[in-house]
Amino acid sequence: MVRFTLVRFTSAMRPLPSSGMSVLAVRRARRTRARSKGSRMAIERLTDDLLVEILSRIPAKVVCRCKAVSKRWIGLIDHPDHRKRLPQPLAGFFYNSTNENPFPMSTVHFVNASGSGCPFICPSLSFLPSHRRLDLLDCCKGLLLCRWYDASAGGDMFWYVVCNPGGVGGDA
Amino acid sequence: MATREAGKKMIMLKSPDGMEFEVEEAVAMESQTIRKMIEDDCADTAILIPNINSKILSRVIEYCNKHVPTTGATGAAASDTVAPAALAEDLKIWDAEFIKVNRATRFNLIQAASYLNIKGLLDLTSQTTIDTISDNSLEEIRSFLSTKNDYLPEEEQTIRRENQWAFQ
Repeated sequence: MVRFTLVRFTSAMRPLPSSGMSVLAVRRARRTRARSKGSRMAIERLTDDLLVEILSRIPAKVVCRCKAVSKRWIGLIDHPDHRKRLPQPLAGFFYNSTNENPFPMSTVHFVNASGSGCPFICPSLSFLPSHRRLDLLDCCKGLLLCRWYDASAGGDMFWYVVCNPGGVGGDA
Repeated sequence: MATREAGKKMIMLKSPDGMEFEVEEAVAMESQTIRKMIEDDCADTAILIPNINSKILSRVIEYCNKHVPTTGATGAAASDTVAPAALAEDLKIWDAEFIKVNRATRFNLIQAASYLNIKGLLDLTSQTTIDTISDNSLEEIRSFLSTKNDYLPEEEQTIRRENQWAFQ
């Protein structure tokens, strides 16, 4: 028997990674590059920043449609730096499948809302310490609540783990 | 230069093309950017406003003049004679007239409002663009913003297919 638990997940809820200065520095450098590239392509004086400012006031569905305007627009809309400013559509679903036969087994999957392409989130949650079993329980504001079974411990002992699959770290 | 005139503190704003505008501190502080400078005591001499020419800066000041909250003696007198609802209505009509400008000027005003951080002006100036993007076809959006469609037909088809829900 296969049981699915669907957990709704939007990328807008994902806090950006914040592990130390190096990440921040890289992100800042990336933004500077994006801006200088944008200023060369500035159209009618609406700079990238202003366009993002305007798109941030538009419903997610329209913003998503606007990806088809031009390559510059899709670049801005999909850029990780703008994720927090722009309204985000549903990124996809986590689901948990359990199979009792022949051995009890639980697997975490992620499927994009578009139904195709490489999963937006890696479902293995490989940043978590090694585990022999992981059950998804709930999702809130981009954070996942899981039941984590230590790989090196036997029995029914488990930990509740809250983690941010969109970032770089997990937290118990 | 900050001076005093008729009991009101004045602030000097300078555009990059050399024009100087003396405005009341309360009017200048409609801009959160300038407010921060004044609060940090960085406004003792004239404040240079980069990237905003005198034509646009004068329109921005015109907007701030109109929208500065009336306080103190004159404000009390005004609110005694005119109902707040009528004032709001008057402002709305004034705004509608103010924004009757060509596209280039409007984009310049959006840029100025964003840099100077004047929320009301940013809302007002970007509304037409927001409406255009929200209510029109991709072709009309491209034409309004002079954006060229640089997708190959099959690339555009792929994006439409991947975001099919947004096109329904």
